[in-house]
Amino acid sequence: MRLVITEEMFRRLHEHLFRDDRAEHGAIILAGISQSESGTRLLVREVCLAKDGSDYLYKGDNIWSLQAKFIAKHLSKCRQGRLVHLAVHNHGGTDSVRFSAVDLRSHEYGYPAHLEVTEGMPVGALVLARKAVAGDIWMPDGDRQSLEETLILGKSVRRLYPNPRSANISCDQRYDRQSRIFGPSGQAILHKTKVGIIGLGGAGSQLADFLSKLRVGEFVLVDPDRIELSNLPRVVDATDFHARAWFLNERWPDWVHGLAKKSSTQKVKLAKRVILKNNPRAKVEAIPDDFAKTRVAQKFKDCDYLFLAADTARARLVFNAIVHQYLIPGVQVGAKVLLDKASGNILDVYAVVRPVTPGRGCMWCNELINKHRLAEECKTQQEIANQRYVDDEDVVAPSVNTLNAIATSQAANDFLFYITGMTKPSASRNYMRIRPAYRKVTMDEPRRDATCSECGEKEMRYARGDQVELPTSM
Amino acid sequence: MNAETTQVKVSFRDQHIHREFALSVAIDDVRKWALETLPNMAPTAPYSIVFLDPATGQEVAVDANVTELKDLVHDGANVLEFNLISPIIKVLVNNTACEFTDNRQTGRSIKQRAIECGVQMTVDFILSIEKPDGNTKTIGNADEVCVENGQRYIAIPDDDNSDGDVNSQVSTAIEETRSNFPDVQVHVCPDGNGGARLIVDSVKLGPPYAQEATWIGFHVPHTYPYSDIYPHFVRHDISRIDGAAFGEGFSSGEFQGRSAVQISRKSKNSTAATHCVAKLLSVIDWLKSH
Repeated sequence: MRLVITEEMFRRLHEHLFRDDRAEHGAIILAGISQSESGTRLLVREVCLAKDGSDYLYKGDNIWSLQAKFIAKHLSKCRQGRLVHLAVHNHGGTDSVRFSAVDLRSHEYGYPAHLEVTEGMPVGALVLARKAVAGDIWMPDGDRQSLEETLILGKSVRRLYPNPRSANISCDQRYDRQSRIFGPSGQAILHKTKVGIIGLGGAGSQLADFLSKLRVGEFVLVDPDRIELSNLPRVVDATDFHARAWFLNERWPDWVHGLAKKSSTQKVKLAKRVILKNNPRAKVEAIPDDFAKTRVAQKFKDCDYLFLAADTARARLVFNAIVHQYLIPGVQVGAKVLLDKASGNILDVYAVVRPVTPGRGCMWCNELINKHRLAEECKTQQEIANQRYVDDEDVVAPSVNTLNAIATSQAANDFLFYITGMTKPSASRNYMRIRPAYRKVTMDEPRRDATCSECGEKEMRYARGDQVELPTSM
Repeated sequence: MNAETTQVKVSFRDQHIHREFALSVAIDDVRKWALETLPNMAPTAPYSIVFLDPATGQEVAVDANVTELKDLVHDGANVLEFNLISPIIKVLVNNTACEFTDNRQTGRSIKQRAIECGVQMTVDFILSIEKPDGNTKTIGNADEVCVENGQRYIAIPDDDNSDGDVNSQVSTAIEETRSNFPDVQVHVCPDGNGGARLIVDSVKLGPPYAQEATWIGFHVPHTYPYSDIYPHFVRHDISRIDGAAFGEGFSSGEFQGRSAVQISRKSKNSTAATHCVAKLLSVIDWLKSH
């Protein structure tokens, strides 16, 4: 079981618990829950600090007490909001922490009642030392689980454990050169990381290639399309065979062309082959389907990082929702060549890298999800033909491999430094726009709307995990 | 008796207050009277109205038609006894349904009833009620409560925490230290072995020192009271008014992350049990008189 919390919330909690007075302090965390084959994640939605002297009292005999009236208020909130209730306090010490006998006795005395109140939602407790977190989580089915890891999502991800981890890690010689940058422990982290790549065209296939060479251990890939002739200059390892090029020759009748297109290699299958060629030990789930379907999108909810390399509005909407609902950082990559419709002249050429991370604004409040395109994408082809549909130069957009590479290499590096904890504190998290024709890079600071339904911390979706539906199709 | 009126006796059953009174009611109005007037006589709980058929002793609902009532009166029964029966009041305590027949309760009685209904709790749990605005309100044991259908109550205890286990001897030492310094904070950091490191926030200094006060810290090991408590630590910037250097027994050090001056005063008697507060006070005395 893991706890996931943003850096801002963790800092607020830490500052409350650890002060110069070196005393105990308390708080309550309300968390969403995500359950999957890879385990359970508790997603911190709200941190409620207990006021010393009223919500948190000293009882004598070295015993402090989180008051029932403070707990009751939040248990009620958890029942109504379908959230997990976690009582939090701190101990002394730095790198390791565990519950005391007093703590555990109190859990056994009171938490059966907590479970009754929350009506099927787990309850529990966390105890923090300065650099350690332990948890005792009570599940509705009677199971009781310990917290294995706490992930703090900042510019890098930080990991806290109940006890220091053993550093006895060996490294495959193949990865010697790169592990000299982030160490064997960083390499081990990559091996245990699960990434999702949405869209395996030019940009997505490059990401699959880069990340598998970094020895990322697990991939979930989704793209409904098959390789076409026009993909060959951009999709990694794509050949005439994959596109069934020979059968697309003019001498063949249309029905042969149709058959060729229907039987060409699925993009996700090709990407899977590329990944396994680079890292035979990688686990890869390749889904030749639409990411915006419910059962497909659910496959991404236990990823550690997401890459959006598809450009449909629906994919953006679902990707954005998963990032904030399941507290999974991600990045959107893209490249664009803008043409003048009349003359065909190139107006601008740029690549974008847009980090999308919980607590930092989102694609919806930055108006990067077009409502009109969303509506169009939900129509059938016949409806599009019957209703007015204006040609959009983006429909058959120019695209070039090297332009994709600018965005994908930056995104892959952003991921690498993030996941190994090496991003500098001063690093920007702004959107990058690279204009190679001008050799210019601009940074756009994303806006953040506190009332945004998708990313607002008090709004419908944030950190709600499995309790809220994704904006997907059935 | 006027054939068109009847005597009515009204009593409230299953209520705190028992009231009985007799009055005359026009027979044609009995039903209407029962439905409109009786409710005003009842306590605030919802209720149902039945009357006892004097002939059969059976209970008959008031919405029986007038003809039946007339028939009963014609049988010579000139007293109709109406009973107002409080129906069952259902509330939830920790999401378990609990039933009351009397809407007047106290915090304690609600908890006792909840235990009878199978809620996993004790009477020591703190009771709260969920309010419509989503907040909760605590209910004391003696607080009077009017229970109503659909209310939700929460009964839970305080959640006790301790920053680590100290053994009973060390726990006593901590309490004695706190008792001796009631006006200042005593910080306790268990060492993980049953002992603890203590810091008393402020003890008076003054001459011969330039500082008015200092914190003082020390380790009470799990082997206390067998082991000595030694050394002690005070603020790192302690200085004498006359500027003289400190002599033997003083050195620079660190305690619980604080830079400190270490005061090394071993107890003279190596076999007698140590007393934490006595040792602390003797070190303070030595410091002031040194």
